[in-house]
Amino acid sequence: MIDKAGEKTSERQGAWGGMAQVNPRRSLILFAAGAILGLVIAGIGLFTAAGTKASGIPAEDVALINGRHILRSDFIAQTQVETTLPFDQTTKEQRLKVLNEMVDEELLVQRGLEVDLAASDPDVRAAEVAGVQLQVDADVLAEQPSDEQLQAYFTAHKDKYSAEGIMALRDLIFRPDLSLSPEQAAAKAKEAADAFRKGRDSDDIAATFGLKDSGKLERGDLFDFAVKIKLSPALYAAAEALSTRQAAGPIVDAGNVHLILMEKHDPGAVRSFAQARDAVLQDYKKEEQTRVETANLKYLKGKADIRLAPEYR
Amino acid sequence: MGKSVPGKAGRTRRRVQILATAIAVGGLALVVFAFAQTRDYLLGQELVAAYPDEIPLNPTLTAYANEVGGAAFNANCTACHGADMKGNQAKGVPNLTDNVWLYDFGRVSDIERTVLYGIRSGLGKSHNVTDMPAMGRQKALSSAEIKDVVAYTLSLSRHPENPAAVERGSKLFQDKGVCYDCHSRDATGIPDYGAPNLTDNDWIYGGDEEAVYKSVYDGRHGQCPAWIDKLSARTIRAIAVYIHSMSKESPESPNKPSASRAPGAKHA
Repeated sequence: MIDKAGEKTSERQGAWGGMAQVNPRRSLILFAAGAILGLVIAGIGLFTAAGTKASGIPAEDVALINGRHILRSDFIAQTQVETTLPFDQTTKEQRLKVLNEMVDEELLVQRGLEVDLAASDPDVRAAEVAGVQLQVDADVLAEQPSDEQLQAYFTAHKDKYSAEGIMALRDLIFRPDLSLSPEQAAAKAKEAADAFRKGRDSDDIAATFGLKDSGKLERGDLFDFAVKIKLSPALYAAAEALSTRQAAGPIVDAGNVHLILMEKHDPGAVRSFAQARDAVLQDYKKEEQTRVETANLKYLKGKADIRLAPEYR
Repeated sequence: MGKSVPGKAGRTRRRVQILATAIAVGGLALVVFAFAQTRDYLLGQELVAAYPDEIPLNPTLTAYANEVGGAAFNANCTACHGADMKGNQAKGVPNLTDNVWLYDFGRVSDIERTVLYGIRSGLGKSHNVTDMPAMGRQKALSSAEIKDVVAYTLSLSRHPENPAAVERGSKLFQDKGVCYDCHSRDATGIPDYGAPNLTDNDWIYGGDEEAVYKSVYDGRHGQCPAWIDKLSARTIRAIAVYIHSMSKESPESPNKPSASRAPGAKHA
């Protein structure tokens, strides 16, 4: 075919093999061939178990299974565990056996993920929960807090590092039938306190001065914290300051005149930071662990789409 | 005018010469850089692909690993282990220059496992079989009993001061305290558990009476971070080789003596 310019159309468009000029037929055929080749590769990847394959494996790996690495270090350790021999004394057969087992294990793990085993198996769920918590805690567990951080924690929680103090005390008030004026009660209380300091028995003092237990405390040894819970702040402050065979009173509290007789007070040993350092470290880390676990769950809940039944909203 | 024409040509020639020299120098630098990068890449590949316990027998690989590993150790490990690698007893950080190893035998492969996965780092593959329990805090032993156990423990590596306490401590070690379960009946430790040898007078937390009492009373929970997700496989392997070069393998190491000593190591 000859056009107006006198050139053959096929010459202007270029022959099949002539790369200097455009050939629409060639373009179309090559485009179609490329598309078909791409579809074939994608199809093989999609419809075969092998998936996309890497041509080589990283030097630090002994195997790469569907893109998952098996480190040489893990392989050496596993071989030594299974054969109980140093790696360089193992045979090629032994190594291949171990490698084969590791490959099998990896395939089964990957299969487990494919079929979502965690959705139905409680053991897998528990293992995953524990594993994720460990991952979250990893940095906290490995972090070495400074002495300043530990000292600050110790100062803020000093009570935790003291042996608990023990008290045996009596909180006495005057019997209502005595109808004492406040002044009389104060004078009698003072007298009773002096008698206790001089060594008189608390039951004897109660009987002599018309006193009775307020009913807030049991007789016998009590932990400091238990006394603190049961007495008012004013009465506990007075009791805490007393040593064995000391008395405090008269103390007016809630309309009554109280007399505190301390029969025994072991304030407990206070450990220094140096003595308690290891315990402080463990407690500090435990608290940090709880903090990061809570923060992680908060983060997960924040980005999750959680829908609750109406009665639990 | 007559003089300006050859001057222009001369300047142009000079410019061309400068440009050519610059290109040559740049090209040369590029070649040197490419060579260094290629060498680094190939040595790195060789390092990670090699059987770790045979690397000390290869001077080229060891020198390369020491260069890379030394820099990485300084950047990541000296905060705890110190620049001199001698650790810190106050914090329970072990000395890395001797032949005493808490876990395994101090081979490159052993050290690499610890650097990869850490000690009680939270990863499943870390060294975390057991802890030193707080015998006092958990009230498993009384204060007096712990003092006897301490007397016995110290008597294993030095002259006993109180034989009666040592005798009582020995019974507690073998019976009520269940110390033998991790430290073994002869108190030489079990490297699989990270339970130290108590007979060699080497102490992670210090060997005075007070420090040993504290270990038994409060327990110990030493840790080392895992570096698997923070450093490359090449850097971790290099650190392991570097530490190996600066230390000695345990006398119980199954390695051949030739492999246990790095060429160019700082001590024989």
